[in-house]
Amino acid sequence: MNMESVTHNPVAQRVLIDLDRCIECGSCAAACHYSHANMPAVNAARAGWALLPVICRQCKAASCVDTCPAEAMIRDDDGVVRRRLFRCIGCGSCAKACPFGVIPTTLGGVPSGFRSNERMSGHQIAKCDLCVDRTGPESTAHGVPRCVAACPAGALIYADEHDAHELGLNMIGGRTTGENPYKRR
Amino acid sequence: MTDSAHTNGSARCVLCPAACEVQVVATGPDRWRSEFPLEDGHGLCPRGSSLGELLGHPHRILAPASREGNALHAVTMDEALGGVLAQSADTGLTILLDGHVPIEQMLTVAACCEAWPKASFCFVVEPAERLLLTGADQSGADYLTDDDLADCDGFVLIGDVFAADPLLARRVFDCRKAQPRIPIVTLDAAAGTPAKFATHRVDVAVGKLLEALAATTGAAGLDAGAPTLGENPSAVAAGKALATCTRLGVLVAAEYGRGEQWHRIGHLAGALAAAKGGGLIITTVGLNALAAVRLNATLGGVALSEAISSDAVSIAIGCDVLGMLGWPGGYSAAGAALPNCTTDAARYVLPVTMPGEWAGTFLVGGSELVHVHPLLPPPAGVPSPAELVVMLASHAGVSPAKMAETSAPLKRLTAKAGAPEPPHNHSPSPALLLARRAGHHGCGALTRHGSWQAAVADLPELRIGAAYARKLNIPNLAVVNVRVGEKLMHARARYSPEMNGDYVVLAEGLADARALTPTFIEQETGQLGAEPMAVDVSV
Repeated sequence: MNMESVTHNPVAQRVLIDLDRCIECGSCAAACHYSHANMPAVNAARAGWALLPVICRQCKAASCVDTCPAEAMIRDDDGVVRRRLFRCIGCGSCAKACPFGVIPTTLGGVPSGFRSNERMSGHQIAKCDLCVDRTGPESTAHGVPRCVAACPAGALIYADEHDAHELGLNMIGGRTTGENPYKRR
Repeated sequence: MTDSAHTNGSARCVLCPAACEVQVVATGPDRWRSEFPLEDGHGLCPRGSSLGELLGHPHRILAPASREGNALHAVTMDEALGGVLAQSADTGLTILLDGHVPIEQMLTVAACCEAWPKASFCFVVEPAERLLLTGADQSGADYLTDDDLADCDGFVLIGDVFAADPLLARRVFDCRKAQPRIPIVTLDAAAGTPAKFATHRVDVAVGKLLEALAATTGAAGLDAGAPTLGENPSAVAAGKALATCTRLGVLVAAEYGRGEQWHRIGHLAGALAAAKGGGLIITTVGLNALAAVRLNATLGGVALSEAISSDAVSIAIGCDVLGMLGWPGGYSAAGAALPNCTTDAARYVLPVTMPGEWAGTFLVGGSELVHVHPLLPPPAGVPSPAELVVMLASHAGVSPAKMAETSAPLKRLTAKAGAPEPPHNHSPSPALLLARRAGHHGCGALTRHGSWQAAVADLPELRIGAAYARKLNIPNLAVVNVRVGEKLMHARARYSPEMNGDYVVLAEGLADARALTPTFIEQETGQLGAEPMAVDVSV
């Protein structure tokens, strides 16, 4: 793997959220937690009155990659923005740089993840890797990320923008908003 | 324990009627985690996700123990069984068996008790679910499967069915996508998840779900035969929206308490579904609740209210009876896979297998018998719940009678004449309600041992309407004291925009919350129920 590959093209498929379908069950966060050794990158985060999954958007121009002082955050050969565990020093620069707040330590005053709990040293930041063991070209599985597979309501979709439009979903800033961006129905 | 290199298992989750596909993979010696299907469209809720971890949980009960004072001491299985039998020598023994074990295990226990005059049995399901399932069965309405929902042209969602069985949400949303103007009517005083997606939300006063349903069915053109508590414009609007439906899906989740009301609600929901050419889906804590209710009735099991009020010594196997009822301790014996309120208070604690280790038959969709394979073999020397009862019977010198055929006693329940009227539930203000949340496995502490459940819920969540919270000066996400009488618990307040009134809601899966509103036996009906309680909430 080329670790200097920050200029590689971003991934085509991302995890998109259909807000019309999210029932706030937390299945995505639980799936991520149990399958990433208690370092989940999907958070069932409270944002005001809502409890919604906060998932990395795999930006084309990833601020977290640019700002990481330890070169822990990279875009790999496959285009996935991911964190190299043994380089991460847990400084939180990526969390501050992320314009969408998907790498926060808290949301709404409540811890959104488990990065600082006693199970961990507190020296790493969790980051979505799109479950490369299931989705990457080296995987023979050709599956979807675990959060998408776990979602019982069909709110999480692993798709590119074209697929999202095919599904009749509006997109704002790379996020699907359902049929009406302001109202659940 | 099993060898970690032994296997990666694949089977079905039996923690709710969705029966999702689940796999486990080894993460180390005697450690497992759930794995997910590779494709979208299956789903696995937080309860199923925690199942892999629980199979190798460090707190797993693997050997019998006896309590002396506050400490547990290891004893042999013979000593433990002998101790249980000695306790029950004068009074008889009641076996309270988890109602979510495979049908074969229930039949084995019934066969044991048939040959054992001093023993009786009860297949334990949530009291509210038992009453709801009884009413639904007696209504004669068809049961629907998840796939049947695709053909529905309207839905009535009673209680937080999406929390009880999240997979139902996908079916309802798929249907809504195909028919955008489909009516989705919700009745839920606790304003659970379905309320966010409703086209018609019926106003339900605290403790008055039956009356609200009666008003809705009346407006839909069906004589409800139940009091409706005067005008309810939201119920009338909802009923009119349902009036043209030709295949109505009625989805119901029984929530803690409310006693005999659930029997009537099950009956009325079934009548509404049948009148509109549709059917019922009853979401329960486990996969086999309907089988347990039918088998308990046809094989001569005692009712839970009868079992707990008799003088007989009882042993709870696989079910957290004290946690379920919200009762304080003192208990004879408990068999469980993981610690719970009952094992914490039991004189003898015995190991048993858990979901994921059972093989056997489950009743799905009201009539279909499905064989479920175990995810993993059980730990060495740990008996299944039925095997434990057989060991106990053998210790008492009893050989089980011949077991009934699997499907023979699963007949649908029929209505008995002269069913008692539900008591007039009181509506205190402000009130505390208990309702479903998706993270935990009903009342039992089983999935509360999961690391995600423990980490994400640093404090239980208290749902509260914004207007009421502002009246009490409680900010969103503030830590609050919830006080009922002398009892107190802490929670984190969360504004719920769908709630409108002076009441608050806690998750029913929390034993602490149940202890605030303990179960009692209704004098009028003899059923187990619990009332909404007057509550004081403060920062």
